[in-house]
Amino acid sequence: MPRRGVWTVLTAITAFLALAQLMTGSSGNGPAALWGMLGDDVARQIVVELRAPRVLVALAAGACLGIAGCILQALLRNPLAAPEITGIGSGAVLGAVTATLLGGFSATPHGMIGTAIAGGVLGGGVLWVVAARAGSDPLRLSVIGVLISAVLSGITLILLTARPQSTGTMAQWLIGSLNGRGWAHWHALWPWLVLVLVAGLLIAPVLGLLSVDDDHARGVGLEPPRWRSAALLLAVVAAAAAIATVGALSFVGLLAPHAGRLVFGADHRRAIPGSALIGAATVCAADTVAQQLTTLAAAGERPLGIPTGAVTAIVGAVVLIRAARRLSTLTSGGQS
Amino acid sequence: MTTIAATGITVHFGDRVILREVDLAVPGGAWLALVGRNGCGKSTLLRVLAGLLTPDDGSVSLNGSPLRSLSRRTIARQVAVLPQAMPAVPALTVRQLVRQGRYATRGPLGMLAGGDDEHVRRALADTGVASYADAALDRLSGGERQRVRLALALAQDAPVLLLDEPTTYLDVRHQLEMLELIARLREERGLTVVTVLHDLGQAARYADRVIALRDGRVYADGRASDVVNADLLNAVFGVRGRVWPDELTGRPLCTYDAVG
Amino acid sequence: MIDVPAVTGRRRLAPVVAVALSAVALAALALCLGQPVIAPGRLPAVLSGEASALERVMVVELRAPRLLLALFAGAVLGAAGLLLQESLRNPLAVPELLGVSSGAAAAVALVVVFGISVPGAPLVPALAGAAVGGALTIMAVRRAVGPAAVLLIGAAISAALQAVLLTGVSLSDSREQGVLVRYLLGSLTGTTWSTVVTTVPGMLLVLPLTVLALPALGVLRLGDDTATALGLSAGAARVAVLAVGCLLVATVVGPCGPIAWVGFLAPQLARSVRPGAEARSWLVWSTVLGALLVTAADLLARTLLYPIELPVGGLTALIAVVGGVALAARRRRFKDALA
Repeated sequence: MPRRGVWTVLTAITAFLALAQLMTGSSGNGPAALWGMLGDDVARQIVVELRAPRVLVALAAGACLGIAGCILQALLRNPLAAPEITGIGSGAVLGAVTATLLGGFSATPHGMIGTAIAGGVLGGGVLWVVAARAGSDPLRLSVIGVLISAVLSGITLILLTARPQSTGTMAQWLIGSLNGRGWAHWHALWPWLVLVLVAGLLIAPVLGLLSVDDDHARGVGLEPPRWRSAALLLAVVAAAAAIATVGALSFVGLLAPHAGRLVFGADHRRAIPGSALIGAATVCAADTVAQQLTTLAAAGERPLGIPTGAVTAIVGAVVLIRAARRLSTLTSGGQS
Repeated sequence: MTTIAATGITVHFGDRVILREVDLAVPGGAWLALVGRNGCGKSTLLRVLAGLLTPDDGSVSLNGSPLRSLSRRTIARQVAVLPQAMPAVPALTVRQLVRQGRYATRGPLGMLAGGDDEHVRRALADTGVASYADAALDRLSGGERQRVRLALALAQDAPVLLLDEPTTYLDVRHQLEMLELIARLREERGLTVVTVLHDLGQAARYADRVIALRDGRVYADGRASDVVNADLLNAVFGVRGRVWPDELTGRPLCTYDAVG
Repeated sequence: MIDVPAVTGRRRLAPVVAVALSAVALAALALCLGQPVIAPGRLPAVLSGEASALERVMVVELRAPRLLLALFAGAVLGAAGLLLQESLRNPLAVPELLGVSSGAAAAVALVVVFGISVPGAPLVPALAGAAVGGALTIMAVRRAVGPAAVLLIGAAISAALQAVLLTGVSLSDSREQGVLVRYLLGSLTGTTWSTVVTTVPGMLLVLPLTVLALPALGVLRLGDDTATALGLSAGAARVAVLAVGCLLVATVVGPCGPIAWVGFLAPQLARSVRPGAEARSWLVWSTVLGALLVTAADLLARTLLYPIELPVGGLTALIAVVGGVALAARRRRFKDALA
């Protein structure tokens, strides 16, 4: 397929999924329902005030996560790197949960992005410091990342027990959910998306060099540590902005860049916007499914709100298991 | 004498065919060398003979019984393998490694006692590693490590020894040492030996029979002096060269002149 | 040639003495500390029944069973951790990343949230969930080759099951959350003799299985190819060892929830106590050190912020991960020694 064709198809798919999400909700599903709602003044408010921002937030958060994962995978030279296994994701969650506990300005959408970035910088910073001492062996780095995540999640969970009455709300952060996301969230999130997308595109050629090896990068006159810390910070900001808004949606940051590389190859100038697009589409689709499940489950006595993160985690696990199997059969058969 | 026979072996990884309908008989007491270019399937063939890899088609028999009907332990009592690589095991000592060779004979419950016995001592002594038996493996040199791995295979006390590139990563002296050691052990213990070798000269010098693979098929199979010639260099390795008999051993010697 | 420093008698004995002393000290502290604090000198009197009823109840009815459960849970987790790490040749092969802990937790969450009445809840559903989580991992890894793939698949299954648990928590009401929080982070709160009686025998039953797995571990650590060449079907053996590991972890997660990452640190400590030893010796050390670790962490959880009781699983996660990383960082990097 010609390159332009790929972009057209992907954009069309994303638009379709966004539209599908717009047509989904507790007050009616499907195109006919949406059309009907637009004709009615009160129901139109539901579409404009509830559904539209939710779709936009889903798109923006997915795009941010895709960009973050794409940068991290290049930076750590590890196809399995993602916000949730580098300490960045759990740092951002810790920040967001702390903000919720503190209340005040820090608990507003803007404030939460700030605290989440602080938390993400903490997680990424620990990774950075430990990595500087441990060398830049990619496998080692991902191991360290998993461990940092474990510590930070441990702290988050201990904090949770400090306020048992809000455990349910907190759990939404830990898993990631779009329930109740509105215009305020969109207004807080979109500037960050623009920032990371532009900066990501600017840094893309450097990422390409860093993803090969340090000596190579030095050979063409680059200073790896400086650029690497800049790229890491960018990934932190991208992941934290998304996580502060919708919580730790897992697997999006892992799978979107994977798919992005599959479609667009290793050229980061294309892989970054590609991962963003695929991430956006993924979150839209996941939230549509979660809402449909919620409607199905709502038949019972309990007002169930299935979190979006439950869908991404379970679908992601299935995809990851298939990928791991394929990967392992490929590498085991590599000798002759 | 233990014999291995492979018939119609076909192996493919994805849509890449590695071996096509290869037949090979390993008579007891022989030394066979598998040679060929990188990727010609020689290591794969060795792994199939050892039962480490199940072929997509064809079968291997050990003393007349099909390999897949035998348990892993039964096979390991007859066939010892030196795979190409082994993962690093932190702080493992030579003796601890060589002991594991007794698993096939002693079984899981027998191994609970540790596994040290006469065969372990003999394997350590025969390969000349007994003096550093309690040293950690990761502190040994490449040549010493290779001898230790050979000791592990010997501790299995199996009549057949399959070696996947036993001389790779070794300098000339250690390569020679390794091959002389294998030749001596084969003599003393009456082993059947199959080696994958990179160096055609070494294969011609030590093996009774040279099997050259090309594109997953057997291109030539026979005594070194019959098989190793200029045509083989060209057809199998893609180089132009000259071959003449060594005055000392009567085995073929090769020089490589140009890429052909 | 290489000189190997001979391990002198004193160097072999020192860790044994240190561990024995700290075990005694920890046990005494666990019985004495809390509200009210009981002087260690009075312990014999309390245990023989010559003290006030309050002291007797505190020590014999509350602290003693909790101490026992902590010791056994830690021992089982230490043993399970060593088994998993050695069979997958990866220090990150821990129950938390193999779907076992989160399987148990998710099952309890589902039972609680949907109000399903199950006899023996939450113990029975936790055991079933741990078995299902472990079985899922084992089934998914059956055709996969190599430890890295196994670990990755396990982590994916863990994450999915954790998502189920978190969904359960986010859907639950405040009454149910008390139960569920224990399964987010393990805890020994509320242990009585009846808890001990219903759980410890199961642990004692499963622990001996680890000894049977030892010979396979010795061969498996040499890599799949070498293990197969030596006469062990690497895939089947790994599944068997994983099954034993799942069983062990399930017996702990059922009553206590996931007391996280003990199975990561205890084997690492064991290896650094006896660097040149083999799995046999490490299994013993890992079991003992795991027991001490959980006992110490529970003591801290109980007393650090009294009267607030911290979840012991949160503390072990912090202590074990930081400690484990410090140990791993000290050890030098091993190159592909036999490549």
